[in-house]
This record gives sequence, structure tokens and C-alpha cells, in this order.
Amino acid sequence: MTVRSMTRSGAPGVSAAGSFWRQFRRSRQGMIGLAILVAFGILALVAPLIVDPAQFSPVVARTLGNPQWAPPSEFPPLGTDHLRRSVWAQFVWGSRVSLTVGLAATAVTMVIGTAVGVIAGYRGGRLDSFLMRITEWFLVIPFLPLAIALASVLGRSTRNIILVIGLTSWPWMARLIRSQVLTVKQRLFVDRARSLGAKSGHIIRNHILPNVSGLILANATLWVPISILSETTLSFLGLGNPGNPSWGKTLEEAFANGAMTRNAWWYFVPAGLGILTVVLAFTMVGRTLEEIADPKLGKER
Amino acid sequence: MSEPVLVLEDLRVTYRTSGGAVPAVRGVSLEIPAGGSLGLAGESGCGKSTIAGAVLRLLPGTAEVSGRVLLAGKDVYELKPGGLRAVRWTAGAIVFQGALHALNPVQRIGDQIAEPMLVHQTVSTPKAAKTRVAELLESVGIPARRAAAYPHQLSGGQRQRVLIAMALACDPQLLIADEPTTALDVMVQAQVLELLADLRRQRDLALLFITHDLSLLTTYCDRLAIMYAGRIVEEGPSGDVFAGPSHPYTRGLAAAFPRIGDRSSRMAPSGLGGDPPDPAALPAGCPFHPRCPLARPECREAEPALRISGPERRAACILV
Repeated sequence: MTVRSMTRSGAPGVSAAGSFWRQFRRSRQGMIGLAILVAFGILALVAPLIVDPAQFSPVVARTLGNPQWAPPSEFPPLGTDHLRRSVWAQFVWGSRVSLTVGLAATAVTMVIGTAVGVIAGYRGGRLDSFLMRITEWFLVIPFLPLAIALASVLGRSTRNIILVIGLTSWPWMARLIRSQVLTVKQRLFVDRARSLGAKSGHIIRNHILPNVSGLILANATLWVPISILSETTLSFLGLGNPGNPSWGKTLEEAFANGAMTRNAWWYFVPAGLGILTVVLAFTMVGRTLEEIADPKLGKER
Repeated sequence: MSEPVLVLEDLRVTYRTSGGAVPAVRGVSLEIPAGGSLGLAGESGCGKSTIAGAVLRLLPGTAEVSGRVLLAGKDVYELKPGGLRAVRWTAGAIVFQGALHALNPVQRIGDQIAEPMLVHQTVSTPKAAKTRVAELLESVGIPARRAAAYPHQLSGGQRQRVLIAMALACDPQLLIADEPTTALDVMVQAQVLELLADLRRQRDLALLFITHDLSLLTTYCDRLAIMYAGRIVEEGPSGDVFAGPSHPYTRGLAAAFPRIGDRSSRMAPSGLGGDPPDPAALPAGCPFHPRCPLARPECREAEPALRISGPERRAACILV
């Protein structure tokens, strides 16, 4: 306790980012989550060096002379599927697709949600009511039917999956940001900024956004696993990009081709575990960020 | 005499609430000459902070304002938004109360002091802003290297000094200090007020000092205006008003401060009985009559206007 208060008040030169990292490092769940994410991040980055995406074509797999439905013992490290493709290659490539979709969809969610939330919360009045009614309109539409309809209208591609997830999940973020903006707006330093002649854009950039950014960051991290699961769901329902195998796509194909009844566990277990681990790791990091951003959530304080 | 920095002409502010109209300020006229200082005193809810907000047009949308506010010769309520922004902080700046809340917790204080300069483009480069911030910090007695600190790393007195530095950033002609020392302990309060007085002398600043602490105003202001229920009930040179109040309300306020060494005030602490009136339901006649020890029957009938009560002094009481 003393050490903390000393580092807080006694080191004026220490940046905010530095103290954030110090607090983060103290959390075991945050560090475990971060380690897992770094590992999967590296895997996703080097995937093109390990795997040639051409081998996902059934024709290429056949010409390679791979066995069909081979268990890991016959075709290390993870066996093959009904089209003679390496499950390991699909797993590695899938990490790339799942992480990309998860991060990009979250970015879309954050951008739309923050824009709507900040404008509605800051401006208030009729514009606020109007934006909130639109938000509610999106909220009451069930996710899956809307996502399926959008995905089939837009076509089956990774980019469209990202758009679909982003377009259906921003309302939650908008409401969350709006409520936070409403409280920050009431603070005296916002009045002070207005009284010294600042325009709204300046106030939002310099005073509102920096004070809600902790919340935005923590929620973004918690939103990535939801996006990954949404991608899995959409791919499992057959709306994913067929040429770009994600973990959800792998699960769908394993399911559709009877991997379970054949006892071909090596086909679906890696993808399932991959999703589980990445989602868990993001949640652990997100929770830790949330606790740092909002000290009231921390148990030990 | 040169043109006054601030003129209020029959300023009236009424808040529209769900419970009806609440008149907070009911016809206040006052003047502050360049380099002059006026202390505005009164109990909570008498409208003194509303006046501070009205000068820079910072009141919420529920406030209806009439009358005129001339700040450096410009009618604040006639200005277009751009012109209003230009006047804010360059003609009149506010030293806020509650320094912790008036500072953005996630921004370095140097950047916050530079903010008005960048908004009004009084400096051309970030480097020039940095130099100016260092000057301002030194002038309020904070080492320039503290510009990189965050508000939570400063003490209460330092934070109040930062707010003063910020108020000086665009060289305003008028400082509005709304209870600038409320949350500070007595020693720090004295230091901050001495600093304000020094800066006033050096820069020939006019000051509108708002507080409920009459003894502070007597020390730091040339003139004094006492408010009760949204009106000025007495005004005059501060020493005279405090030493020989004309209005019974001022007398009550002045008597509420015990004199050190005076046995009689120690044995019988005096003050005012009763509560300030509810602005939404003011008593008829003189609003002070229910609490006035000298009230007469005619006090219930008409509200007295300000009248001459001595050299450069006015009071609103029929007994004057």
C-alpha cells in the first residue's frame, strides 16, 4: 500500500501508460491471458510460412497423396479430414482467420458504437432521442436472423462476415459509451473547457474521449471473444468464406461430414479447443483491463 | 476614469423548473472599473454564483436572463457564438471552486494550462505554449517542471494555483473568483489569496470575488456588495461597510465573525436567526423582514430600493 502510494505521488515523470502496465503486470489472470494471446498472435502471423493455403483445395490435397480420415498417428501432427487435407494446416490458418475477424469486427463495433454513443451523450436532446431509438431498433432485432439475412444478401466473404458482426453488435457499445459520456459531461472540467471558449469538437477530443477511453479499451477486449464466437456461429451455419478455413468452418465441415460418428476426434477437437482458449484469454485480459480502468471492480482495493 | 471592465445593468436571472419560475437574481446593477475589485457576499442561494455564470453566459438552458452584461464594453448576450467564444477567457476568466473537479484527471496540468492559449491561438507554436506555461507556473509559485504532473499528484493548494495560472493564460482584464478557496485549509487559503492579490497588483487585473466569507472580502477587495435573496442590499467601500454596516442584514453578517480578544463576542456569539428565504416563495415587502431584528409594519408592504447611505455607499433599507 505504501509502496503504491509512493509510486503514485512521488514519480511525476512516469507516464500514464507506464503505470497502467505496472498494474496490469500485477494481475496473474491478465498475464496468463496475454501470454496465450501473444502465442496465438505469433501463430497467426507466421501462418503463411507454415501453411500454403493452396492445400485447402481438395484437388491439391489429392495430388499431394494424403490419406483420407487419417488419425494423427498416421499423418502427424493432427491427421487429415474427409478431403485428405491436413487438420494441422487448417488449425494454423484458422487462428489467422478467427483473430482477424474477431479484431476487425470489434474495431467496426467500436467505431460505430463510440461515434453514436459520444454524439448522443454529448449533444443530448432530440438528437440523443433519435439516435437511441435507432439503437433500440437494432437491439430488438434478434442477432442470428439479422446476421444470416445480411450475410446472405452481402455474399459469403470474410470481409462481409466482419461487416455483419460489426453492424449487428454496435448498439450495446453505443449505449454503454453514451451512459459514460453522460456522467463525464457533468464534470466541472467540461464546463471549464466551455467557459474558456472551446468548441464541442475540442471538448470531445480533449476531455470526453480521454475519460471514456479506458472503458472503451476494456470493452473492446471483452468484445473480441464475442466477435470470434459470432464468426464461429455464422461459419458453422455455412455463411463463412469457403476458401478461407476458420475454426468455425472446420467445425461445420467436421459436423457435416460425420466426423463425430466416425470417431475422428482429431478433426474437430483442435478447432474447438482453439476457440475456447482464445476466447478465454481475451476475457481474462479484458477483465483485468476493466478492473484497472474502474478500480471499484478490483477485489483487493 | 477609464471604461469599466464589467457592467451589469438590471441583471435578472430566472430558472424555469418543474415547480415554476425561480428568480435567482432580481435586478442587480454593478460596475467594476479596470484594475478594481469587488467582493460579492451573501448566504448560500442568494444568487451570487448565478451572477458569476451569467457574466460569461455559462448558465444552463433553463435560465432566462434579462438586463445587460457588458464585459470589456461588449454586450455578452448580444454576441454571436463565435464572438462569445472569443470573449470568454480573453476578457474575463474564471477561477473555479473545487480545483480537483475543474481539472481533467487524465491530462497533464501543463497541457490544461496551455488549453486556453491553443483555443484562442494566442501562441503560434507548441514550443511557445510550453514556455508560456512554464512562466505561468512560476508566477503562481509552482516549479515549471511540474507541468508534466497529473492533477492527482498535486496538493489541493497547488491545484488551486494551477487553476489561477490557467485563468491568467490569455491575459484577461477580469478574474471571476467563485469561492476560490472553499476546500482549502486556512494556511493554504491565505497563501492562495495573497498570490491572487499580488498578481492583481502586477497585472492590473480587475477582480470579482465571490464568497460567503465577509472577512476575506474586506482584506482583498476595494468595494463590497452584499446580496440577499437575489438583490444587492448594501454596497460601498469594503472597510466602511464591514466596520459600520447600514443594512441590518450586513450587520448580522459582520457580527457573525467573532473578534479575537473581544470577550463580549466570545460570551455571546451572535449571528442571524432563521434560514435564507426560498427564492421560489419570497416574503412580501422587504424579503429580509422575517429575520430582521428592526422590522417595522411598513417593511411588509414594499421592497425598498437602494438609496444613498453615506459617501459612495448605498443600502436598501427604509431605516437608512
